[in-house]
Amino acid sequence: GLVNNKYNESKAKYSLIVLLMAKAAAGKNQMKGEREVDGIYPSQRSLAEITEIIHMAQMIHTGVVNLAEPITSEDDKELQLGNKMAVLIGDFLLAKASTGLAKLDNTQVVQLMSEAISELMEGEFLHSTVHDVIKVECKDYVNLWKQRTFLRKGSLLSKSCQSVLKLVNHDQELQMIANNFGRYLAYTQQLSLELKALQLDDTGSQVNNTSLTAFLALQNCKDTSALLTSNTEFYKHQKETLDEVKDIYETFKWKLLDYLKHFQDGDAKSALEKIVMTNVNEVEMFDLQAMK
Amino acid sequence: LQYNQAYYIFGRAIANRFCTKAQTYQQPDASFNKELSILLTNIRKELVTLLPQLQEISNYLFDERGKQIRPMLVYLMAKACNYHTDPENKSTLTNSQSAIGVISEMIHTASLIHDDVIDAAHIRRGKPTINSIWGQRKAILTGDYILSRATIALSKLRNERVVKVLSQVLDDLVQGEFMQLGSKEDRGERFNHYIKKTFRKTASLMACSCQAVAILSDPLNQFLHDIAFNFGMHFGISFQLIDDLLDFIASDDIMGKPTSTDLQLGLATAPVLYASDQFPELDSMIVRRFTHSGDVQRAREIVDQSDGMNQTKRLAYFHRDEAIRFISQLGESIERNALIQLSDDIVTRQK
Repeated sequence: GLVNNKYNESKAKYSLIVLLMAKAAAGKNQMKGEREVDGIYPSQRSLAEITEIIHMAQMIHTGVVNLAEPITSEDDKELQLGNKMAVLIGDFLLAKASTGLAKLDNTQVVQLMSEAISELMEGEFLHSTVHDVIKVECKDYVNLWKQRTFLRKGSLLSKSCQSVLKLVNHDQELQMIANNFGRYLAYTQQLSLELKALQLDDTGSQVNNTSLTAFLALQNCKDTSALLTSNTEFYKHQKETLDEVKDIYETFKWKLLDYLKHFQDGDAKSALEKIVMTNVNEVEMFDLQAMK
Repeated sequence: LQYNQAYYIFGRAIANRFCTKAQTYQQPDASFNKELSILLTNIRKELVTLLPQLQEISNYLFDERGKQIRPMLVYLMAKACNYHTDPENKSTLTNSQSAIGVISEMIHTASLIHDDVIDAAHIRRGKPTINSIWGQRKAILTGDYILSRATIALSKLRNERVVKVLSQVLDDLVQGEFMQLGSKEDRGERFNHYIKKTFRKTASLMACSCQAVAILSDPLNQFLHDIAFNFGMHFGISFQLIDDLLDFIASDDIMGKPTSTDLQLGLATAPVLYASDQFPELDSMIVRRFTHSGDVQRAREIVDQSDGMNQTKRLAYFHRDEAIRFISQLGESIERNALIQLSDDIVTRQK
């Protein structure tokens, strides 16, 4: 089978999700010429790989740490070399992604995936810290969080899910469903990550947070200065906020399961359902008391 | 007169002298300048974002200060190809061809931004580099942003072949940069390595942009595509050779960036490589990338004494001649002749 049960589904890689999506939609299109294996065409495998490559490049380029120039100390010189390699390796990966996309002979897919990369980069310039967010004084913090998560994670996942269907001429409606599925899956993965981080933070130190929890706390709690000095103790007492987070999570979950109804039953669809539910279980098990 | 305006009028004067047919075009000067001025506007359109800081940084290097060789090249090549394909029609630029100019300038600028991070440069075109103002991280991410928007514009041309040709450039740019990191010990291979690196880093973008507009001009004419590619390649190599030469000759105020930068970065370019034939003491300096104190100074002195600069110039002339040889095979037009003139100008320029 395609899915290894020992695999940690909540950390399912982009490429896995893209492939599962391809397989779950198999049989609904009229693609001739390419030979499919296990319901997946070679071009689709290529796209899954490209998606992972782009993700890697994003990690590497965003992981760079600023060094004050001119660089004089020996330690800094080593870090500088690290940055140099980060730029080059990231560029190498992006170039491979570009030439790979070009070979797929589908300019719409090239456009979609390039838009994803562009949005990834935009995400890095959007409200990086809680201080930025407070300055914005927005009315709808949930949307702000969604916007941010979309740019940084949702864009790549949603557009690659859409592209993998577009490659084999699935109809537009199904493509959009795949797109939305990817987007909401990214939301749930991000939420699950944030809650885990909250749970595990045993230092009691300041939680530098742009998590949904922090955003909602901001919306609920009028005293923003408390938020700025917040630590896990602070969040422990935010039962109302945490319940709200769980509710929002529920809506995401239902949307995701709804989207999946459009695909045919089989290995791939079950695997995707499992991925959705694993995230959900993690969130449902999130326990205020267990926060250290 | 600005460099590019003067050059264009010049080209026309030459064309008028050698043309045997009456060319009945619109005023080429006016339309060319118009093209250039809307280039920057078009680039800005591609870069629009709601995020203010990203907007600011992405627009930063798209000002009047660049030499804009690449857009000029694309513009002229497109028109020369169009004339060659269909002499009866006024060789107007199609929208797609115009877009190639925008795209290649964006790719070029994005690579400059990353180069400045890698080289820890503080000045570019007479003003502070992006990394020195906003830090390396944002410089890298902005470069990626610009590149991705160039690819989006490219995909919108809906031409798979052109997408393939220009995507290859990205690969070449990175490979060229890696080649620059490594080096060949063997003296025999050193020069080939340098020329190959030069192709990848500089000439590839020019060659592929030329090829792209040729494809758009006449999709089935392989002869045309090859001419365009070869012209761009030789043009680019001679361009870079002169650039490397000027690094030794020019002083700081003319170039807009500090000179002897290649040596200071540990790079051995054509003048040094040629000089090492006469002065083997350069060999060990090349291998250690001029890191010992006094190396840069000593290397400069040796190059001055040697025949290295003249040999570099002769090689540049060779590539210029090759470029001209290829482009002359196109039907005669003002733009084709302008390209011939441009090839010559490239090797006689001061900056």
